[in-house]
Amino acid sequence: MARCTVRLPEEFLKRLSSLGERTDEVAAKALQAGGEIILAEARENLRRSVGSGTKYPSRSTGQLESSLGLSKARVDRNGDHNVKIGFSEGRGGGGSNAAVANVLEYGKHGQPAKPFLAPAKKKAGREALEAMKRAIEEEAKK
Amino acid sequence: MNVLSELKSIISGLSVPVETGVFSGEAPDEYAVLVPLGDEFPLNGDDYPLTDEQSCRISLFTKGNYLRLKKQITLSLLSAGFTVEARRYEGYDAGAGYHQLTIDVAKLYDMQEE
Repeated sequence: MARCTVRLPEEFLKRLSSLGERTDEVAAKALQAGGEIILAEARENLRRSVGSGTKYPSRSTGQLESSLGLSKARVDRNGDHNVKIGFSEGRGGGGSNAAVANVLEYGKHGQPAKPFLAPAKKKAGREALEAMKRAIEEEAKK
Repeated sequence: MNVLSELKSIISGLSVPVETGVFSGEAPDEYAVLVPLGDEFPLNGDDYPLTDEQSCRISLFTKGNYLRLKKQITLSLLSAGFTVEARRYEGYDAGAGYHQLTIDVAKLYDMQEE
Protein backbone atom coordinates (compact mmCIF):
# COMPACT_ATOMS: atom_id res chain seq x y z
CA MET A 1 0.00 0.00 0.00
CA ALA A 2 1.26 3.47 -0.87
CA ARG A 3 2.27 5.56 2.07
CA CYS A 4 2.58 9.31 2.34
CA THR A 5 4.18 11.30 5.10
CA VAL A 6 3.78 15.03 5.30
CA ARG A 7 6.24 16.89 7.47
CA LEU A 8 5.44 20.42 8.55
CA PRO A 9 8.29 22.92 8.62
CA GLU A 10 10.05 23.02 11.97
CA GLU A 11 9.44 26.76 12.39
CA PHE A 12 5.69 26.33 11.77
CA LEU A 13 5.51 23.48 14.26
CA LYS A 14 7.18 25.64 16.90
CA ARG A 15 4.67 28.41 16.29
CA LEU A 16 1.72 26.04 16.50
CA SER A 17 3.04 24.62 19.71
CA SER A 18 3.62 28.08 21.14
CA LEU A 19 0.05 29.17 20.20
CA GLY A 20 -1.38 26.07 21.85
CA GLU A 21 0.22 27.01 25.14
CA ARG A 22 -1.09 30.58 24.88
CA THR A 23 -4.63 29.80 23.68
CA ASP A 24 -6.38 31.88 26.35
CA GLU A 25 -4.15 34.89 25.81
CA VAL A 26 -4.39 34.76 22.00
CA ALA A 27 -8.16 34.23 21.99
CA ALA A 28 -8.63 37.16 24.37
CA LYS A 29 -6.56 39.46 22.16
CA ALA A 30 -8.39 38.39 19.01
CA LEU A 31 -11.83 38.79 20.57
CA GLN A 32 -10.87 42.16 21.98
CA ALA A 33 -9.75 43.33 18.52
CA GLY A 34 -12.98 42.15 16.88
CA GLY A 35 -15.20 43.38 19.68
CA GLU A 36 -13.73 46.90 19.57
CA ILE A 37 -14.79 47.22 15.93
CA ILE A 38 -18.40 46.11 16.55
CA LEU A 39 -18.53 48.31 19.64
CA ALA A 40 -17.45 51.40 17.69
CA GLU A 41 -20.12 50.76 15.06
CA ALA A 42 -22.82 50.09 17.69
CA ARG A 43 -21.88 53.29 19.54
CA GLU A 44 -22.08 55.32 16.34
CA ASN A 45 -25.50 53.81 15.51
CA LEU A 46 -26.71 54.45 19.05
CA ARG A 47 -25.62 58.08 18.89
CA ARG A 48 -27.66 58.50 15.71
CA SER A 49 -30.70 56.67 17.11
CA VAL A 50 -31.09 58.31 20.51
CA GLY A 51 -33.23 61.41 20.40
CA SER A 52 -33.88 61.30 16.66
CA GLY A 53 -37.41 61.45 15.29
CA THR A 54 -39.01 61.88 18.70
CA LYS A 55 -42.50 63.34 19.15
CA TYR A 56 -41.22 65.79 21.72
CA PRO A 57 -37.82 67.49 22.04
CA SER A 58 -35.24 64.95 23.19
CA ARG A 59 -34.14 65.00 26.82
CA SER A 60 -31.34 62.53 26.26
CA THR A 61 -28.63 62.65 28.92
CA GLY A 62 -26.12 60.43 27.12
CA GLN A 63 -26.25 57.86 29.92
CA LEU A 64 -27.10 54.99 27.61
CA GLU A 65 -24.24 55.71 25.24
CA SER A 66 -21.71 56.10 28.05
CA SER A 67 -22.81 52.81 29.61
CA LEU A 68 -22.20 50.84 26.39
CA GLY A 69 -19.02 48.83 26.56
CA LEU A 70 -17.08 45.67 25.86
CA SER A 71 -16.51 42.97 28.48
CA LYS A 72 -13.22 41.20 29.07
CA ALA A 73 -12.82 37.86 27.32
CA ARG A 74 -14.12 35.03 29.44
CA VAL A 75 -14.43 31.29 28.96
CA ASP A 76 -17.96 29.93 29.19
CA ARG A 77 -19.10 26.55 30.50
CA ASN A 78 -18.56 24.97 27.05
CA GLY A 79 -14.97 26.12 26.99
CA ASP A 80 -15.61 28.81 24.37
CA HIS A 81 -14.02 32.22 24.65
CA ASN A 82 -16.45 35.16 24.47
CA VAL A 83 -16.60 38.90 24.79
CA LYS A 84 -19.92 40.68 25.18
CA ILE A 85 -21.07 44.08 24.06
CA GLY A 86 -23.60 45.42 26.49
CA PHE A 87 -24.61 48.03 29.01
CA SER A 88 -23.31 48.57 32.51
CA GLU A 89 -26.05 49.21 35.03
CA GLY A 90 -26.59 51.84 37.67
CA ARG A 91 -28.72 54.21 35.64
CA GLY A 92 -29.19 57.58 37.30
CA GLY A 93 -32.86 58.19 38.04
CA GLY A 94 -33.62 54.48 38.28
CA GLY A 95 -34.48 51.95 35.62
CA SER A 96 -32.16 49.75 33.64
CA ASN A 97 -29.93 50.69 30.71
CA ALA A 98 -30.50 47.24 29.20
CA ALA A 99 -34.29 47.72 29.32
CA VAL A 100 -34.05 51.14 27.64
CA ALA A 101 -31.70 49.72 25.01
CA ASN A 102 -34.07 46.82 24.38
CA VAL A 103 -36.97 49.16 23.59
CA LEU A 104 -34.72 51.19 21.30
CA GLU A 105 -33.47 48.09 19.48
CA TYR A 106 -36.80 46.26 19.13
CA GLY A 107 -39.42 48.99 19.61
CA LYS A 108 -42.82 48.34 21.14
CA HIS A 109 -46.47 49.03 20.33
CA GLY A 110 -46.62 52.75 19.57
CA GLN A 111 -42.85 53.22 19.58
CA PRO A 112 -40.91 52.44 16.41
CA ALA A 113 -37.74 50.36 16.69
CA LYS A 114 -34.42 52.08 16.02
CA PRO A 115 -32.10 49.10 15.77
CA PHE A 116 -28.45 49.87 16.52
CA LEU A 117 -26.94 46.51 17.55
CA ALA A 118 -28.13 44.25 14.71
CA PRO A 119 -27.01 46.71 11.97
CA ALA A 120 -23.62 47.07 13.71
CA LYS A 121 -23.13 43.31 13.65
CA LYS A 122 -24.17 43.19 10.00
CA LYS A 123 -22.04 46.11 8.85
CA ALA A 124 -18.89 45.53 10.87
CA GLY A 125 -18.99 41.73 11.19
CA ARG A 126 -16.63 41.05 8.34
CA GLU A 127 -14.24 43.82 9.39
CA ALA A 128 -14.23 42.41 12.93
CA LEU A 129 -13.41 38.95 11.60
CA GLU A 130 -10.46 40.36 9.65
CA ALA A 131 -9.23 42.20 12.74
CA MET A 132 -9.39 38.96 14.71
CA LYS A 133 -7.42 37.14 12.02
CA ARG A 134 -4.77 39.88 12.06
CA ALA A 135 -4.54 39.68 15.84
CA ILE A 136 -4.02 35.91 15.71
CA GLU A 137 -1.42 36.22 12.95
CA GLU A 138 0.48 38.83 14.97
CA GLU A 139 0.44 36.58 17.98
CA ALA A 140 1.61 33.64 15.89
CA LYS A 141 4.67 35.64 14.78
CA LYS A 142 5.78 36.19 18.39
CA MET B 1 -37.78 43.57 -6.44
CA ASN B 2 -36.51 44.55 -3.02
CA VAL B 3 -36.85 43.22 0.51
CA LEU B 4 -39.50 45.72 1.62
CA SER B 5 -41.85 45.25 -1.31
CA GLU B 6 -41.50 41.47 -1.13
CA LEU B 7 -42.13 41.35 2.62
CA LYS B 8 -45.13 43.66 2.29
CA SER B 9 -46.57 41.39 -0.35
CA ILE B 10 -46.04 38.23 1.77
CA ILE B 11 -47.35 39.67 5.05
CA SER B 12 -50.33 41.50 3.60
CA GLY B 13 -51.09 38.28 1.69
CA LEU B 14 -51.69 36.69 5.09
CA SER B 15 -54.22 39.45 5.87
CA VAL B 16 -51.86 41.16 8.32
CA PRO B 17 -51.66 44.95 7.81
CA VAL B 18 -48.04 46.02 7.39
CA GLU B 19 -46.19 49.32 7.19
CA THR B 20 -42.56 50.40 7.11
CA GLY B 21 -40.88 52.21 10.02
CA VAL B 22 -43.95 52.97 12.07
CA PHE B 23 -47.60 51.97 11.92
CA SER B 24 -49.59 55.09 11.15
CA GLY B 25 -53.16 55.50 12.20
CA GLU B 26 -55.10 53.34 14.61
CA ALA B 27 -53.46 49.96 15.07
CA PRO B 28 -55.61 46.87 14.46
CA ASP B 29 -55.46 43.77 16.70
CA GLU B 30 -52.76 42.30 14.51
CA TYR B 31 -50.16 44.21 12.50
CA ALA B 32 -46.54 44.23 11.40
CA VAL B 33 -43.87 46.90 11.09
CA LEU B 34 -40.81 46.54 8.85
CA VAL B 35 -37.50 48.12 9.82
CA PRO B 36 -34.60 47.78 7.35
CA LEU B 37 -31.42 46.54 9.05
CA GLY B 38 -28.86 46.89 6.32
CA ASP B 39 -27.64 46.41 2.78
CA GLU B 40 -24.45 44.59 1.93
CA PHE B 41 -22.57 43.60 -1.20
CA PRO B 42 -21.29 40.18 -0.14
CA LEU B 43 -20.09 39.09 -3.58
CA ASN B 44 -18.09 41.09 -6.09
CA GLY B 45 -16.68 40.34 -9.52
CA ASP B 46 -14.47 42.58 -11.67
CA ASP B 47 -14.73 45.32 -9.03
CA TYR B 48 -18.49 45.31 -9.33
CA PRO B 49 -21.05 44.02 -6.81
CA LEU B 50 -22.88 40.98 -8.12
CA THR B 51 -25.35 40.45 -5.30
CA ASP B 52 -27.14 42.74 -2.90
CA GLU B 53 -27.96 41.29 0.52
CA GLN B 54 -30.87 43.15 2.04
CA SER B 55 -31.94 42.49 5.60
CA CYS B 56 -34.96 43.61 7.52
CA ARG B 57 -36.57 43.27 10.94
CA ILE B 58 -40.24 42.30 11.04
CA SER B 59 -41.92 43.38 14.27
CA LEU B 60 -45.21 41.55 14.73
CA PHE B 61 -47.85 42.72 17.15
CA THR B 62 -50.89 40.62 17.91
CA LYS B 63 -53.59 40.42 20.52
CA GLY B 64 -54.34 36.86 19.41
CA ASN B 65 -52.43 33.61 19.00
CA TYR B 66 -48.87 34.71 18.28
CA LEU B 67 -47.63 31.13 17.73
CA ARG B 68 -50.03 30.65 14.81
CA LEU B 69 -48.97 33.98 13.29
CA LYS B 70 -45.27 33.24 13.78
CA LYS B 71 -45.58 29.87 12.07
CA GLN B 72 -47.62 31.22 9.15
CA ILE B 73 -45.20 34.05 8.47
CA THR B 74 -42.07 31.94 8.97
CA LEU B 75 -43.27 29.29 6.50
CA SER B 76 -44.20 31.95 3.93
CA LEU B 77 -40.80 33.61 4.31
CA LEU B 78 -38.89 30.36 3.92
CA SER B 79 -40.85 29.32 0.85
CA ALA B 80 -40.12 32.74 -0.68
CA GLY B 81 -36.38 32.14 -0.29
CA PHE B 82 -35.72 34.33 2.73
CA THR B 83 -33.11 33.45 5.33
CA VAL B 84 -34.62 33.70 8.80
CA GLU B 85 -31.71 34.97 10.90
CA ALA B 86 -33.45 35.34 14.24
CA ARG B 87 -36.86 34.95 15.84
CA ARG B 88 -37.51 36.39 19.23
CA TYR B 89 -40.52 36.80 21.50
CA GLU B 90 -40.24 40.27 23.02
CA GLY B 91 -42.98 39.85 25.57
CA TYR B 92 -46.52 40.81 26.34
CA ASP B 93 -47.38 44.48 26.72
CA ALA B 94 -50.03 44.36 29.44
CA GLY B 95 -50.95 48.01 28.92
CA ALA B 96 -51.67 47.76 25.21
CA GLY B 97 -52.56 44.05 25.18
CA TYR B 98 -50.18 43.06 22.39
CA HIS B 99 -47.76 40.16 22.14
CA GLN B 100 -44.64 41.30 20.32
CA LEU B 101 -42.47 39.08 18.12
CA THR B 102 -39.43 39.91 16.08
CA ILE B 103 -38.25 38.07 12.97
CA ASP B 104 -34.99 39.16 11.34
CA VAL B 105 -34.69 38.13 7.71
CA ALA B 106 -32.26 38.54 4.83
CA LYS B 107 -32.33 37.81 1.12
CA LEU B 108 -29.82 37.98 -1.70
CA TYR B 109 -30.85 39.87 -4.82
CA ASP B 110 -29.06 39.71 -8.13
CA MET B 111 -27.73 43.15 -9.06
CA GLN B 112 -28.40 42.49 -12.73
CA GLU B 113 -32.14 42.15 -12.12
CA GLU B 114 -32.55 45.69 -10.79
